[in-house]
Amino acid sequence: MLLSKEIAQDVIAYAIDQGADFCELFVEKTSIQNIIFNSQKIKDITSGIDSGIGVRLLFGELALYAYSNSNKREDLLDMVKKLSAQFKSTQNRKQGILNFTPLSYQIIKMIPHKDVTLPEKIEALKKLDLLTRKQSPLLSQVSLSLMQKQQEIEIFNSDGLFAQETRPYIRLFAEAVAKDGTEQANGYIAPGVRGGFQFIENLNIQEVAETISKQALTVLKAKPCPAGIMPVVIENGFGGVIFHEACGHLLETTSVEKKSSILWDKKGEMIAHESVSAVDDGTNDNLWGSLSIDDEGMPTQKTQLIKNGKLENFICDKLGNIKTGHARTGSGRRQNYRYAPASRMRNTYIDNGQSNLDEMLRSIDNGLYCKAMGGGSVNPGTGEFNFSVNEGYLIKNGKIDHAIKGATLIGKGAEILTKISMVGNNLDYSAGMCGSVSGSIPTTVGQPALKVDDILVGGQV
Amino acid sequence: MKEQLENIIKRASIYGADACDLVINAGESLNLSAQGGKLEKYKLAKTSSLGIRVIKNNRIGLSYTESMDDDAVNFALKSSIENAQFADINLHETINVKNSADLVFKSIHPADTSSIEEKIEFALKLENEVYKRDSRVKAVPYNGLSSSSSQSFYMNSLGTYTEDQDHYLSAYSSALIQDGPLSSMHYAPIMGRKLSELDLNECIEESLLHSRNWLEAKPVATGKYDVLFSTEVLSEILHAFSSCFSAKDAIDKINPWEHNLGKKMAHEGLTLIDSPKFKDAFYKYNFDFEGVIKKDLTLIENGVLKNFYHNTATASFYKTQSTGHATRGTRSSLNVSGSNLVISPGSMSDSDVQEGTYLEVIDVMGIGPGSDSISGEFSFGASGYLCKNGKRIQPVKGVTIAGNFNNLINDIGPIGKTLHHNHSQTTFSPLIKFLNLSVAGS
Repeated sequence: MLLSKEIAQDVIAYAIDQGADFCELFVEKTSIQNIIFNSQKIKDITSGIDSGIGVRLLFGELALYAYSNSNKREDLLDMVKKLSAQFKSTQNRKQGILNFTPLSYQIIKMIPHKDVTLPEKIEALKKLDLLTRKQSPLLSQVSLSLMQKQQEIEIFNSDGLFAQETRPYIRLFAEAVAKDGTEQANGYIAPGVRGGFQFIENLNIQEVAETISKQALTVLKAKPCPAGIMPVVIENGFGGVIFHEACGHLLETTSVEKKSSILWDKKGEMIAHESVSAVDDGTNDNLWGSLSIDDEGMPTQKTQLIKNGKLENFICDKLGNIKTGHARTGSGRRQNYRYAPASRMRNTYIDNGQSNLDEMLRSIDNGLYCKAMGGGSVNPGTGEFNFSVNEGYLIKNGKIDHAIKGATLIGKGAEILTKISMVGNNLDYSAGMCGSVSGSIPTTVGQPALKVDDILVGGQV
Repeated sequence: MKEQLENIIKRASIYGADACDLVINAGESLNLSAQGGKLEKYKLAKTSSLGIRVIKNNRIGLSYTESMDDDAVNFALKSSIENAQFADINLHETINVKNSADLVFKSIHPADTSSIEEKIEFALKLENEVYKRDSRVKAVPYNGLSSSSSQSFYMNSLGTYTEDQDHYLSAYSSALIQDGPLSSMHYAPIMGRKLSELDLNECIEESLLHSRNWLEAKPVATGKYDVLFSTEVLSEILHAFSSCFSAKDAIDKINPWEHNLGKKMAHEGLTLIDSPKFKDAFYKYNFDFEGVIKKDLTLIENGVLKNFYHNTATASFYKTQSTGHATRGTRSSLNVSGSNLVISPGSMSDSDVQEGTYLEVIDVMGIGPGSDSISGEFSFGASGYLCKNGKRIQPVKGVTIAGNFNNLINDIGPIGKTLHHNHSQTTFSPLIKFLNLSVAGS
């Protein structure tokens, strides 16, 4: 136990005595190790432990939050006292004895933990470095890092909930830089899962080496992307970042409750082309964004967001439920104890459709094929988004033509959803980090290849 | 604190470290935000973390802990020494800064004495006033007031000790305006040392101004345009390509200007200086995270690349001196970074720079992911105004601006003589007309 049940009981009882309608303790201990390898050398090995307790009080719809590195009774009581000082209620409420029976829930499947020594991890990186450098003499740098962390959490609340979960994560960052004269370009991937080191042992590192080196070499010789409105095919996997940013965030109740999402009142309406179905799922085996329970102690679930173009559900946490009335979906998430939970995505993807990549390409005379997407951003109030293309090719007469660089896709989320006319059958996922009100959290994006009929492509004129 | 750090360094030596340095970052903050005329969030934060770097047999080991109790610190010390055993030998990264006296900087600004009630009232106004001033405001989705104090401490095994303390307040508001099918939103921040210094009116009016104007904005026709970036946007662009000035990135072969010191890389009218104690800057940086005293560093002079940012490790590699740009968080390794950036003024008046037709860019989207610091290519979304002779003639959004950083800083037209700054007062620049940029629109 990171925190004794007796202290949890005392702190929660004191908070309720101060007039809080609800009190929750989020207790965390996370150990992290990060190995950085570049220029064929181990540059840094960092390890550390994050540990602390976050206290959330609800006074109606007002959320109060504070945190501490201390798990001492007097420090936690003092924190609640300071937090509630401005809002202390005159009503005399008493918290009864809380049993804190451990919550039972289905544990998601994940790649098992395996004790591996530092030299074994370093050896794996060296092997990948060598494999990558063999791909081309034009590769001037290979940068790798391996991040492993294990998050242990305990959640207590004034409803009597007590839940625990241990969450192991592992992620590889791999980048190759190609150089030819004064021209330079890079290729990058960062696969990660909820699980242990066996993920790296099972990883096809030849494929990793080929992917990053090919991307760097392709971009090195790419021509500037022409600008204009054109049809675009976005490849599977990380292409799903557009749906995540341009639509997923608009379905979180943190946006819906403020009516700052253009989709806040569209439940039950057609918001996308009928070929589009989308899911936010916390239960997928091994996936980077999976959770057995969310950070409010609710078992996660598979949430159908859009079904054949119709908006079915929002992504909802406890406070979102109070403010909007939408059902909780096990989506209350936070980076760590320093953040109050908020409604956040887990593994979010557009589901498989009926088309295939060749059909999509054949349907386009002049357009853009985005093989690898980069990051981007969205204005949730207006749905305007902007995403970079890391590896792209022009489509000419139904076939992939030469590589381009410097392309950006720009548009509005709600409009793009209606312009997706073909959805492929090769759904794949990709790990990423999502930053929002409750910090940076592991999320998976995903989609099969899909065709957008027209979108503004930023590039050279 | 100093005694505590000395004690930890002694223990590092006992555990077998040849040298050691420590960073402690600590802070307290209060964050408030409103929704629907009521306080929505109230957050008290108190953080502290210790970062440890040890050197053993010329190998670096790093660790950190958020707990300062003896067990946690001892575990972190042992971890850092274990980590060092498996790192490769690094003869350049040493702990060699030995100062004759402690460097202690405490903010010269008096502490903010406003009460919590006053802060809550301010936070509520940040939301309420936006609704009051325009009936088309549908939401104020992002608003808040933050009051923060921070402390950082550094000590190394040669006895060098630094201490830095500061405090500030920041606030922001946004106006999401909807008029029929049209919607628009803009976000504006403000900063100050006291609540009474925060100009609530300025924050609200700026968010409303552009939200109103951009409601009926449309893309300009695709083509080549001369562009004036706001200092806010220019600051973001310079930071996206700051790798060009990093000696660390040069060593790691990801600085595209690695071999270009002394070469002309920009327009001859462009001079860029890193100025840690610039007179109008909000933050003053007195020393770096190795205890080296900071001073002005010319990065580009009349278009010629003059210097890279150095810490003692990169300086050793390049056989030069540290420029005082070492940076390190408690969880991260030694690196370099800039401080306040100042572009030297030219000779033209702002109205001269604004002659002719150009695109004024106020806001950008996706500048980070849309900028490739290795190839220099960039492409990002932009909002602003089409202007003629200094007058805004058409609000613009839904366009992208693309180009290459090397071309951007060479194809420069007139440079103004008046310095402007970004919201956080970390970047200072005259108006600069960037020529012939690719703009994709309608």
